[in-house]
Amino acid sequence: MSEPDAPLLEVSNLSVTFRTDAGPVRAVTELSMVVHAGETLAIVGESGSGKSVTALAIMRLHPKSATITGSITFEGGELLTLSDREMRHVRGNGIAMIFQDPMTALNPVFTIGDQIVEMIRAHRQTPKAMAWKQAAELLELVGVPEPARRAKQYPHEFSGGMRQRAMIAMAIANSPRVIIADEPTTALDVTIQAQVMEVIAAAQRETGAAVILITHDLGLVAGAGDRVQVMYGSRLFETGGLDDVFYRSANPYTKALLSSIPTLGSRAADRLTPIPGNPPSLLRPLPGCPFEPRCSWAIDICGEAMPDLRVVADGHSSRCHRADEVSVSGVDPHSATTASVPIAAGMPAHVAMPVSPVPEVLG
Amino acid sequence: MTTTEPILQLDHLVKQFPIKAGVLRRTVGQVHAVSDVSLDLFGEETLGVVGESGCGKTTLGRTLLRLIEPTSGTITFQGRDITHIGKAEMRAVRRDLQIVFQDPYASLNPRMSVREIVGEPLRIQGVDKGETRERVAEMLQAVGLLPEHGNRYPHEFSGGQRQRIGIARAITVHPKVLILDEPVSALDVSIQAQVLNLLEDLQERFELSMIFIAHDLSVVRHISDRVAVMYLGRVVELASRDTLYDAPAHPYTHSLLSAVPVPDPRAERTRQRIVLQGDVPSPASPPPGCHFHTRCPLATERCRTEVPLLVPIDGDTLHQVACHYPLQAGETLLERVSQVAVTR
Amino acid sequence: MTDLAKPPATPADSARSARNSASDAREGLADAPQSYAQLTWSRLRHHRLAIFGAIGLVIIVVLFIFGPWLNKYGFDERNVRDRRQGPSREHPFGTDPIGRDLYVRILTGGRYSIRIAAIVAITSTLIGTIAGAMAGFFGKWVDAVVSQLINLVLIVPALIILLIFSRKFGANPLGIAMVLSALLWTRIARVVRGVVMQFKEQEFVQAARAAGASNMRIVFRHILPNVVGAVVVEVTLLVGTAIVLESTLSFLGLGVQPPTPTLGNLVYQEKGEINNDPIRVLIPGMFVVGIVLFVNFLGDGLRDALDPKTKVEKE
Repeated sequence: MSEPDAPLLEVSNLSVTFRTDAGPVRAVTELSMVVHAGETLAIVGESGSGKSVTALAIMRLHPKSATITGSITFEGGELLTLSDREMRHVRGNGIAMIFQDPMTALNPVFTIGDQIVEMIRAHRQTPKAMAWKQAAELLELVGVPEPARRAKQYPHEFSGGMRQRAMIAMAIANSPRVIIADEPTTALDVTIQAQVMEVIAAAQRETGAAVILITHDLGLVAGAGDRVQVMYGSRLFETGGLDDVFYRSANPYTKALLSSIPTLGSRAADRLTPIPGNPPSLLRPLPGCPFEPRCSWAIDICGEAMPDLRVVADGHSSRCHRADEVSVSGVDPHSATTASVPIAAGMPAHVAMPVSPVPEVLG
Repeated sequence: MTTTEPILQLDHLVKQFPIKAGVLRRTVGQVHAVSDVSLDLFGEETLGVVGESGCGKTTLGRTLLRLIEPTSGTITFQGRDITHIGKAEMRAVRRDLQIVFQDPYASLNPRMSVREIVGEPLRIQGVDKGETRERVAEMLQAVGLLPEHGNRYPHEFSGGQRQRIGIARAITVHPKVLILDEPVSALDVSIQAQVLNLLEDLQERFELSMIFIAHDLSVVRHISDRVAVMYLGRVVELASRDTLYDAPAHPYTHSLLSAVPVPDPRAERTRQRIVLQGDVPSPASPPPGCHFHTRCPLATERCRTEVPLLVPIDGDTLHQVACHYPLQAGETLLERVSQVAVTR
Repeated sequence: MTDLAKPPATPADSARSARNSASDAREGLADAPQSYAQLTWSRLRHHRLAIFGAIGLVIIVVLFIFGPWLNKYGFDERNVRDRRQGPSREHPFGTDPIGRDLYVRILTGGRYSIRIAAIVAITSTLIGTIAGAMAGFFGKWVDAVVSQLINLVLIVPALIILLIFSRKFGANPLGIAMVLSALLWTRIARVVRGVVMQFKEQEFVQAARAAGASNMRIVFRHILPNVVGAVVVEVTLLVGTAIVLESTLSFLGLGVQPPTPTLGNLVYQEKGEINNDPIRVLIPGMFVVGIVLFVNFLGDGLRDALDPKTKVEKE
């Protein structure tokens, strides 16, 4: 039905507005993005950027009081106009979701097995016994030891990492084409985080699904994504391949973010360059660019007119009036991408990153 | 920068929490939150304490302040044993030993104005209202807020600003030692850097010694002079910052560093990761011998039975490890694992 | 090299940085400082149901206080000639079997009912708050004792206790109020205990302890102000319960004895007339229902207003 290059999921001009006591709040503004089969798209942003709201909008999990405009097409069909019944057919089946906190996302009064079986039987006519068998197989796939026995246990008997694996098992039960992972590892310890990211990668290999990874952790993105989208103040600020965005960013926010986070390579001698000011108010949005009050590149027009998303290179776009200048300014010497990574992290030797002002030409 | 006598000394500190069950609430077990921890903090240095959940770092922070009473061991502050002193004496000590908490939304009383919140420690110490007002204004400015903000209430501020208020409250009495319990973990990434820089400035300006408790290794690297790594209630490695990150000796430290993702796609693509298997054991039933042996790729029978002590490595007292088979400088865990596999 | 990523400074930059610090100051801050109490009040003012309840209550109370003066009859004035009359201009609600004016009696009865409810509210709150705070704060055996006491009071059916004690103490309004307080303090105590236990573990309390605050200071300065909210809500609901309980007692023939009127014993008195002249029963009954409804609306509104809602922008 769809051509091989056609996007699997396409979002066009999505806007999500909530009604609050203090007035309407637009959490996502005119967002457009595409996801192709099998790829991993990372959506990065801080709190209030709109990244989680976007994910929930794709799954249509927002309350009816939220106003959603624009279009979301999945495998050629429009999602926003589907009835509740039709949408239920898509959730857990075509598009599945992994949530941040496995403790609250799993029902404490049912066993893990029950919940996976429920996920399977909600969409297929599988007989119970077979569904239980499948559930055990899924748990084995995600690395839960003694899967048949543990399927009969309750969520509170699982550790945090195990619960997250169980959620991943639930998500892939029906071989979805898209898996949305909303901050899947934020609540976990770093060594467990590494495990869970591997499980997600394995799940992706097994099902061939596309993964939308929503996170605030740029390190996670660097290790897991193919393409990355940066959101700020309800808007898309930059999108492109990993190398484009990390090494050749055309957006001051992305660059400022990379310069401000401490990494394993940071030394106390290098002062972090923080981003001054506070995140923008979604209640009283400014007329111009939402990042303008904190931006070291800002000029007069930035406070007056919203910049468009402009193409900087093939597959790389940035929302900034000065995108072209920013993209050739090279890598900031303080930025995360210039730090040397310590030996213990697995690098065979110190790898020095180029710090030249000349824009790099990479293969 | 460091003087010879430590300003704060912990000796064999232990904290256990009883587990009660049954109708009669009998004690059926113990949670070994902190097991035999001995650490020194020197003047004007920052000691980072890092570890994952269940390692006891938060309990350690509260215990050394005696917000939680230790089960056993001693706490020596400025040469004086404060482990068992009475409440009134402790109050005087608290002028020099303060704490900043993690959650900016729970650490400020929603009913009190910012001025009242920041000024309270001074009032408790008996400082009069006039001087309190002045000091509060001074502190608010020191943390990057305006004196007018004193009239306002916590709910009007963002997370980063609230954390600044919490910091102002802690330093308003001009303490000598500041315990920071995950002070930036609950903040947005772009705000973390602001607060970290602020802490560094304040340390210099007020000559503070800090214990920085965190789970984020990158943050700890940035701000610490020395670092202690904890696992399940014990300190497994203690070293100067550069040594710990460039030449760690404990297999857990190696795994921890390896698990931290680096925001550098090229590095992420090329480096080899060590992914530990299994879960962190529960502090209610820690494994015998070396607590880490259940997940350690180098574990032997000896590790299962004999508890490794925290001892200096290669005669360097500044670098201590609790491991029977510590790695050498420059050696990676992967190299040692393959070595071991060959010999077995 | 370090200015690599930054464009050269322009006059626009300094103007903007001045704007920045001003906007920083303005950033998280509303137009004027608003304490938690002020915030609650403004939320309450916009809560339609609460306003409705409050207005209703005010009207009723005003009626009770000033109503009887509009009519020249005393509540115990008997005009045997006029007995058992229906509503007329002289007697707006009619008269009772021994000729007393019902309008005056009902409104006076309302006064006594409200008075009883108020005394119950104050006494229960005092006892309940102290007991609950001690149980919540000190825990262990103090908590065990108070909790068991509460359980004891709760286990025995309220009505039985009331029956027994009202025979002994309760023929007058004060006595009834005391008996009801002895029963209802447990509700306040439970709420206070829960809130105190919750706040005791909050980080800002730990911070006060870390600053050397004494227990007294912690309880009065940090915990109790946060308890006020929950208590206020519970008290408004308690008032409703007290009135209903008092009316029930009177309806059973116990409670305040005539000639002193209360809404409850008026219903009791007139219950025989329910087939002929239902209005004599309905009017005091409606007042009871009205008070309880309005008080509940107000209580709901308070509960909603006190609940700190998260604003969307804080996510």
